Amino acid sequence: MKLIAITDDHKGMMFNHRRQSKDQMLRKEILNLCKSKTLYMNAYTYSQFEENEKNNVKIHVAESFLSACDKHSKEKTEEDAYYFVENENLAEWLNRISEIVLFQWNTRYPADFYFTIDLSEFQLVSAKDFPGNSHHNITMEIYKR
Amino acid sequence: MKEKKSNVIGWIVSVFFILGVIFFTASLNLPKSTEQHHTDHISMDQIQNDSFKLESSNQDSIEVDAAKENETTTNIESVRENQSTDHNVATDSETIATSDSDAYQMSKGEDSNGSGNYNSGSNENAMNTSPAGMVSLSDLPAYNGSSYVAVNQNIPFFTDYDNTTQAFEYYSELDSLGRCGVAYANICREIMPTEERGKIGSVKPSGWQSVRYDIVDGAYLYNRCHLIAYQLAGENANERNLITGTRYLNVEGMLPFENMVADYVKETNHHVLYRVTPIFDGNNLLASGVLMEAKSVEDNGAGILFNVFCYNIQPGIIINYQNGDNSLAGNVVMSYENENMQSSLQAGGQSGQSGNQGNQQTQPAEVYIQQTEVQTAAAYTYVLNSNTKKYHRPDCSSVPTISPKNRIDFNGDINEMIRQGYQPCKKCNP
Repeated sequence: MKLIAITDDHKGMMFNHRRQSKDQMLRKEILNLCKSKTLYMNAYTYSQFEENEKNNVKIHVAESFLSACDKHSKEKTEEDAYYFVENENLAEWLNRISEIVLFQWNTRYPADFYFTIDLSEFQLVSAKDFPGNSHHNITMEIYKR
Repeated sequence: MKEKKSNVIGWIVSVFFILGVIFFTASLNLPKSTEQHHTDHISMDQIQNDSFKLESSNQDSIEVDAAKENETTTNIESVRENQSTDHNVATDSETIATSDSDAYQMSKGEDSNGSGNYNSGSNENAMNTSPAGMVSLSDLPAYNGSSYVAVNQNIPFFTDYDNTTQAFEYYSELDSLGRCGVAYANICREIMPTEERGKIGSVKPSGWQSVRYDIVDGAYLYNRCHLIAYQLAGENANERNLITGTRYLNVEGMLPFENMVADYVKETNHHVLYRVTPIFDGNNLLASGVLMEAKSVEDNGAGILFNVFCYNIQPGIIINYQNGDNSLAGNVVMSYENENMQSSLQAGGQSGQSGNQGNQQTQPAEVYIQQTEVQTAAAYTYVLNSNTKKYHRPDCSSVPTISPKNRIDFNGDINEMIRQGYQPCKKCNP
């Protein structure tokens, strides 16, 4: 399972049941990353994608997509699939995660839902910065076990 | 037989008469009952304020939308620092500085003092410019480590009349004590700044003092704190938009919300109703905090929706809200850059009793309090892991495993870090 998540400076992800922020350039980066792969997400996350952004990527939308991940992991059929998570508790899936693609807004937002995975169990293998549409600088880091 | 028949008719007439009286009485009571229902939700201040109109139907619709949003996020198990402290409040014991003469401002134009001058819109009487009376300091919890607390379950007090995609800005006139009141704007690209912020040092908001502490980020205890942030509305030295706010209020309390609104507007080109209300306790010159409300217009709050009270406090500093006087918490030795300051501060600052005259004497100079002279019992050296939010003894076996980018060597009162969410390591039990 390859996890995609976005956080602010304090590892915040959501506030008052709403994502902290969004950016079309970040979505473009995600879709480029997932070309020829399956991208799982729930309906809330899917709602931020524009129609014209969804080409060339196989997006699977399901509310229980993490459970599906569990099943697929056992069957070893979706090892390379990506799971874009905004509002799901990730702690219980920690053992299934082989790779984390962590985007950072590089700013502070209010938060009441946080990214709780301890990254010290992973190794940072790559990092890059890119300008967003509405964000000055977005960081993309890839961690692997 | 005839007599019996007339008795029956008389009995039937009596029954109808009694039923009629009952229905008539019930119809008289009905509006009274409805009126009582409304006064449960609207304070007397609002009822007496002709310009304030509360449309409960709007709030209902927001709640419905929020419920829909919840349906899509049913698996959230959030770490809610404020969940247990949401508040529905509706008393009126505090002062929210407002002015009846304030004009609702539409369509930005030119201004002689550069602070923004606007033409009144046609619906100014309908615009809900103040949540006065909706929030009572007595109903808000004392500061407990979080820079803000959710109010009214994060649902702002806007009304149906507020929903517009027309740009506007509103800044209350200063009250008789020189204090700011409500600031309200429809944040959109049209009013966002296109150039760097100008100087605002000429403004001395109520309770203003220029004072520095080493323990304060950026040193200065007080900032000239925009009600409507510069990044949202481009207001510079507008005295009706600047209050005396602690660095903590400015950076930890308000800035994250301002960032969220600014980035949302930049990304979507939508509008966000945005209102900030400083709340003063009685005649205090320093606000106890600010109420921040926001709701995105085009998506009816799906993108941005919050209602929070941000505390105007500074951890480690004792503040006298009557006049802004302040001192370091704990057993400290203070030193002064200007000896002339010492007498006035000893008379007021340390005792917390100084009046306005004392404030005026302290304004021209600055007070510098040396952190090295702070003596607090809890001060100690720890190693923090910013990733796990754990703090360790320096000799803890986990310390060498902490990534350099997550490691913070900390010397000071650990209670401050605990308030920021740090927990003791279970191995070394610091």
